[in-house]
Amino acid sequence: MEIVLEVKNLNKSFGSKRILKDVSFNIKQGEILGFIGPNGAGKTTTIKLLLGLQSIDSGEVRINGYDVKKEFCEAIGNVGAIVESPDLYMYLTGRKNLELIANMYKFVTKERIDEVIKVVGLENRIDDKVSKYSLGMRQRLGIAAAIIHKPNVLILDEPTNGLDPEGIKELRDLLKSLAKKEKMGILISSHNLAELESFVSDVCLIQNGSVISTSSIKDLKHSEKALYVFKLDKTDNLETVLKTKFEVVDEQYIKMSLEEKMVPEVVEKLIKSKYKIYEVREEVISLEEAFLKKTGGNVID
Amino acid sequence: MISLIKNELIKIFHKKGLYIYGIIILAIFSLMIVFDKFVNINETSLDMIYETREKGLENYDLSNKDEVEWYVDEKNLIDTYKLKKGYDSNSAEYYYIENTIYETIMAMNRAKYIEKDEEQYEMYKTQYDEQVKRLDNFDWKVDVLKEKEAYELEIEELNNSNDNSETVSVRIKELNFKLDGIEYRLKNDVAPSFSNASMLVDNYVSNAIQYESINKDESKLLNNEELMQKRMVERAYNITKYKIDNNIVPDDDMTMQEDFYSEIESSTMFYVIAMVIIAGGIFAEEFNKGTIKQLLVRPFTRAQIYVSKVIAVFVALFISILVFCVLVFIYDFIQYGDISSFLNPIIDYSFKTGEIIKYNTFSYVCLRLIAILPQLIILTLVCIFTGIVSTSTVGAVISVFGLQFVNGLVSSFVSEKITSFLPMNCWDFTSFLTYGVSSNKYGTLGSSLFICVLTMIALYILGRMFFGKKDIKNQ
Repeated sequence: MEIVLEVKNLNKSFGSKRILKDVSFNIKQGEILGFIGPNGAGKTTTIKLLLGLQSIDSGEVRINGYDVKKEFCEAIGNVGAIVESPDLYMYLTGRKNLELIANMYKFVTKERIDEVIKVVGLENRIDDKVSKYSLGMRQRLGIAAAIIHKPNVLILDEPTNGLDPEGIKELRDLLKSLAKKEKMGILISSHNLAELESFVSDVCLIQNGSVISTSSIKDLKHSEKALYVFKLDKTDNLETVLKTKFEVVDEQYIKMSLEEKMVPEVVEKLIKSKYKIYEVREEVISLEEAFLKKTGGNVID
Repeated sequence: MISLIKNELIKIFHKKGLYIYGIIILAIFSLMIVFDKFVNINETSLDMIYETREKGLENYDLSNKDEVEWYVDEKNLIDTYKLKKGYDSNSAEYYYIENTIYETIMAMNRAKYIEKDEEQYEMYKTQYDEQVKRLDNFDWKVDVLKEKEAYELEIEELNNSNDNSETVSVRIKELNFKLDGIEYRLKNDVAPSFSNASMLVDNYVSNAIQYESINKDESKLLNNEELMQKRMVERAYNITKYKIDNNIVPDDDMTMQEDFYSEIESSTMFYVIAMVIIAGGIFAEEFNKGTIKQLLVRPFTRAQIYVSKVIAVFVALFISILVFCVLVFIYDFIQYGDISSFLNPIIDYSFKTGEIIKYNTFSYVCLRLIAILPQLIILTLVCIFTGIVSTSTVGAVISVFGLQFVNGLVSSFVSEKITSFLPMNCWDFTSFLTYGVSSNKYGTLGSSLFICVLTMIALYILGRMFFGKKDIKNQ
């Protein structure tokens, strides 16, 4: 799969304070990369540097092979974005906002405008002034504005803000569809990790301006030692049987942090010690828990 | 980039600010129309006013020295009004009463109430009665011919005096001009009055006398102030001479044409306010509201975005001025109901050729607007630049109106020779159009143009630089 967004050693300082330190990651066609980090980690600053909204101190950003610093118009031509909040003209109608954007691209037709209005579900309110929209409606319009010109790279900063659960589901389905059918590479930053988990394929963790991990969700959640839950007939005197540390949950359940290859050995020991085993399962940790493990427990806002 | 300019114009003309401003202007015009039509001080109102004033005379204490003076002043006006109320304000009789009989009334009342000199009073009373009697069959030519005789006599005496001094020579020329005025009056039956025809004759005579007395050698003049004074006189003289020679008598009432171009000329503040409404927010508001990001993440360079906004501002300003002119035209049409005066040429004087030039209304108004264009362009660029740097609409607006304050402050501390080269003192070219000279003491057309163009380029480049480098801060 072709790399559509390539970020290499991005650095940015404001005065003497270093905001980004050698940030690097890639997005391929059809990939949805979750960009997550605590408040003040540098997510929005990174996104602004990718889009030319702030100057790059050092490093390289290539979009569809074009250097953002040297070939800005070519690089940004196929990018759609929402940064911080959907930036719309409140005194204009939703339709007028989209028409202004459409005017900037020769190939965006009236039919395409109607199409994106339908995709985001704003048919009934599109001719109202944006000042009368709810936050969720403005978010939808912002997404319409971002995809109106059929970009192959989509950069979304907190796009689920203001959306109700149904809206979040629709956005999720839309992004999945765009990634799959249109082969769009999508970078999405969010603090709501539970939402991200359901549709991003990979995550890039950023903390204090540095990328601490870029991996699939599966790899992020899976560590060498996972947490296993055993359901037994009893939990007395297990210290004599098991050498590994364990936690007694109640009369029937224990938890143990084990490498996968050690599980059969533990099962064998329990059986030999006349314990009845009703259930053995790996406890799935959430993305938030995995994130907290990785970052050492920083508060996410 | 055409699409960017189009987008900017859509945004400008979708905002309420300009329309609210237009409604305010319409409201002002409507109020003026209502005021003109309904609040009219007619003769009946004047009668009532003077009746009240006459009754008020009873309240004066004539034993008090100060009150007597006020009493006499009031009585002079009331007595004069009573005489002139039956006559048209542009008639010869009215003029005679205002200028000649009024003097007699003043002297008469002074003699009676202040000097308390009965003999003097009687003398002036007799004079007054004679003058009033003349009003029955008033013949203005009697006075004019007497005047003519007096001037001719004086010229003869001066010629016979063998005095070849400058003073005598100047006096003879003055008297000849006065005789020219009299000849014109007699030939064209223009009685001394407050009519425009009569004022034209008076203006011609006084302009001619003034023109004769000034130093015509411009190289000997020290600075633009002296040059301006000389040219004002030269222009006034040549225009009135042309009108006298060609018997172009202006209408007594103001024409729609005159009202129209004087309103357009004097409305610079209206244009500046329109400009501030358009340019004040075009950058600042976008930065504030965050919508600038929508522009910056599109396939256009910052330079293209900057240029498109600047062009859109000037296009919108041009349209606003055009709409303003149309509103003024409609307002004047409602007032006058007759646009035929627009066909009359506007007479002006060219210092370059030394000849009279004629403009049609359209070209005259355009020239006047072009003369203030440098000022509008510079103020617009200042507003745009401040908007980019401060990202504050209020800051952008204050910078425009604050410039004059700054100019005044700087002028208090720095010599006039230096401040005359500040852009604010060079940007109005109206005086060049009218008098061919700068309104400030030391500037020339070339230096003023140079300073204005340099200022425009500097502001444009600075604005473009700042916009090009500006980081969009996190909200």
